[in-house]
Amino acid sequence: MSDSMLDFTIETQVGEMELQVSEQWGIGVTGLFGPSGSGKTSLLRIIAGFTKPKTGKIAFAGSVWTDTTTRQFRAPHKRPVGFVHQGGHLLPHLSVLQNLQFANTRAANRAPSDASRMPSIDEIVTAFELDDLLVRKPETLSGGERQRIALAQSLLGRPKLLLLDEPLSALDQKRKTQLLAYLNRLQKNHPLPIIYVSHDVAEISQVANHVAIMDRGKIIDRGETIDVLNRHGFQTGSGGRSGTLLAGTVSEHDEATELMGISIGPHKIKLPMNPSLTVGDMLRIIVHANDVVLSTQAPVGLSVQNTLTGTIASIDANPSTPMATVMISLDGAQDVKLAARITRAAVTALSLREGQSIHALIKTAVLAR
Amino acid sequence: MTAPDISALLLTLKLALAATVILLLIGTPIAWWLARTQRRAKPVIEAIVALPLVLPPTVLGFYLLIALNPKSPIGGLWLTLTGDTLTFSFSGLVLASVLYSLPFMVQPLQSAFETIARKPMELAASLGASPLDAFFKVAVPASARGFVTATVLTFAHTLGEFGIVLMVGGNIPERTRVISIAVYENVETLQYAQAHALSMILLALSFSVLLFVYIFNRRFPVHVG
Repeated sequence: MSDSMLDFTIETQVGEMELQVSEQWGIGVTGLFGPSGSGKTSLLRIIAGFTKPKTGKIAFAGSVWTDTTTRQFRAPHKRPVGFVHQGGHLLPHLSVLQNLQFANTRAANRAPSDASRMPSIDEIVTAFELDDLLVRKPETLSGGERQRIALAQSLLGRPKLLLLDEPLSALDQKRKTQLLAYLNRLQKNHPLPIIYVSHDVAEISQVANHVAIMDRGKIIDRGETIDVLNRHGFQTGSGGRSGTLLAGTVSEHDEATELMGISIGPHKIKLPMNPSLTVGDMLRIIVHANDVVLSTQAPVGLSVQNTLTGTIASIDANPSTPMATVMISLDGAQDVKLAARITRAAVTALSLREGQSIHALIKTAVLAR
Repeated sequence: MTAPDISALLLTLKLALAATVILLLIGTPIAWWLARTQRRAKPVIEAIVALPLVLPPTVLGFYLLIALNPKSPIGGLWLTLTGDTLTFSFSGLVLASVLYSLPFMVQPLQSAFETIARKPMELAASLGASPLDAFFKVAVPASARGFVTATVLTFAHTLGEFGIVLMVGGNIPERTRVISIAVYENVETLQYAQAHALSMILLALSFSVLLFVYIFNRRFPVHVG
């Protein structure tokens, strides 16, 4: 068994719902994705030891944390877990700095030999840009500030397992990107398992190595981030906004046009340049189905520049709505299916059918990493 | 003020102080347990704690007199251990006051503990704080106001007790003769001037501590959540 494998089998009642999961999650970020009330938070709380499951076993790195058959239970403060509550809770009576120190001193007591394993207070304060907040009390902070500090505090606890419940939900896009990049770097320097609960596809696709989809107390799918998110058409928990996640590589930077070229298999598209990416970097791109335009011929005289070619794999026309979803297998990358949402009328007008060659024009794409 | 009156005043303060300190030590865990437990015994314990609020002090005093007299198991054990009786002694008064003022310590503490959200305690645990560590470093500071209220109310309430003292302690100068008893005796013997002096002291003292509680609660609102 791996050094840092989280291995659990849990069956328990959560309100009206039966929570029933059995997984093995290792080093890397596992994105836990699913609608509200599907049991994500309950699962994290059981792993942390805040609630006891009716039956089940939880082991981490080979040591048993919970086992209902042998009545073993390790108290939460003895589990090397960092936990960020939804909404970013801090210790209310302490200042920001005291909150960070609270974590730091106890981490030093808990695992003195690990002192160098994780960033120090100074490093964290710099990385999270907390200098101006140190003397403030939690009640005077905004939701986003509290979340930043809660994440920083959990890292100072020098966890061996990080449980993050919607850790960045109140942050603006810029901060979110910044902190996700920090988590990615941290993950490279100090590999540890991170369970990352979120509703936000963009967030998950930016940070997760693996994704597990949870629905009504069960994990209904798991695997590589791109595969799983595409299989579920982003519908789970993202307000029904469907789309496709594509994996690409930065192939060129064009300073003159402020664009960068991205290769997706044999295809190439251009997106606004992102200075933090260099040629050769891997990235993920979200293409929303509503942002894809279809053309039966190679487009001429259009402002849309990004064109992918492929064949129609399936057409799903829902008779109760005016819309249809067309799935396109991209040329040279058969396993990637791009979703396009067009009107049923357009399907008829263009007489689209399965197997037909098609040009997919991408109006906008969201850079996920 | 006469010497006996001064000794009554000092004895009263000593009694209130002792009872308050003891109640802080035993009332805190009871209040914490009541605030956190989901056991079915909770309302029973709550009712027992609240009993002194409604029971006439004479009733409580009567039972204590029976339970603490030297022929009873508790009174007998105490006599063997210390060579002194529990009835009509200062120790007995302290014990009676602890029981009598129990709700004044436990109830404010319990409601303070109940307002501490679950999350800060869990957060402390996830950062490696043991339950005791989390209690002293998170729960106690977060319920500072509850502690001040409970301590002051307990102290003030013990200052003013009468019936139970009379039943358990009697009226022995230097030993059990507290202010309220002294006032009673002064009135009975028609020494109104002395009764006035002592009453004024008790009135002023009680008013000051209560005023302190209310000012403190206004100036240092404790935010939890």
